[in-house]
Amino acid sequence: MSDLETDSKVAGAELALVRRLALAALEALERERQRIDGLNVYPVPDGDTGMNLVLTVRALIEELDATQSNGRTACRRDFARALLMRARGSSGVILSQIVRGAVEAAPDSGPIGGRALAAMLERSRDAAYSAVAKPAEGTILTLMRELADEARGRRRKTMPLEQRLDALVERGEEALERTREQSPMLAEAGVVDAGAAGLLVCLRAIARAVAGAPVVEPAPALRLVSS
Amino acid sequence: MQLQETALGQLLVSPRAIAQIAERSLDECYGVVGLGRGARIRRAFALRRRHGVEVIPSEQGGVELTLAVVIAYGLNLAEVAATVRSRVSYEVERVTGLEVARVEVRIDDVRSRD
Repeated sequence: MSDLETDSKVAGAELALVRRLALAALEALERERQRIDGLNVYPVPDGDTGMNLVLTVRALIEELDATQSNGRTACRRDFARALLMRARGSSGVILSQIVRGAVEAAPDSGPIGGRALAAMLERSRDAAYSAVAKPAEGTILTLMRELADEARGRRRKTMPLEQRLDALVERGEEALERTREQSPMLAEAGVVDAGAAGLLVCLRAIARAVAGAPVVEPAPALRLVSS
Repeated sequence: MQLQETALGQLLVSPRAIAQIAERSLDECYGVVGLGRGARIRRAFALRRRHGVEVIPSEQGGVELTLAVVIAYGLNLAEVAATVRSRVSYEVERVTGLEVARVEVRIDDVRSRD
């Protein structure tokens, strides 16, 4: 087998794995969409955060299906660009930046260890923070920063990926709870941040899928109509 | 511009103050990495332009805003513009009570920060 063939085979396997994790995130977001919409008081209380995240992850999966596995570099680049173009709403745009960062920093081969995971999340954080002049505290950005800190703190410890992700979920839950006090508007409404809650829903679903939970293929058209 | 008329007198707000409010909310808008320099062709009726924000009273007693912004490279410009529009008009309406009749978003530049 030529190098090129090997490369496109690896890219195909990578696509399949990312697709499975994205499906898990989509399924969880659809289940919790209304709860997330209900938390949406900041920046504009229009109750669309959950729906925007659902549409963005749905677009992500469509882009994964459309991406040709003709080599990892091209595949990752095309996918990240396409996703940024199809993101919906502020929270969707930020989520697409987070995914882009993680995709760009993902290791070329081998399992994802502590250092690789920390590098991915730090790149996600940097990509997310790169597109705002004055980041507000108590948002999806704050949660992302705490997740990157958590991964960095544990990067040298030897532990399985499942356990690392569990630790991230735990830190994420604490960070999400703190958003309640970090923004005056959230404090007034007595809620946690909707975008951050959505990101945590995705992370929890990904952690479960990595740990071996089954992922069901949703029926997108039907779900969209009924919602 | 008049916000309220009471028996004791009226409450007024300057376009400059409205521009300030708009500008502050722009800073926190995701995708906006800077403010533009304002319209190249200055509008004759522009009362005040603070950096990238222009405030014009509308005929129905509200305001029309023109926002000149610099957006992060790579993002979907239409999507960012839509969130800028809803965010800024929500904030100006919330703080002043004035109706925002129109928001024009002008993208002066795109810039990469990473």
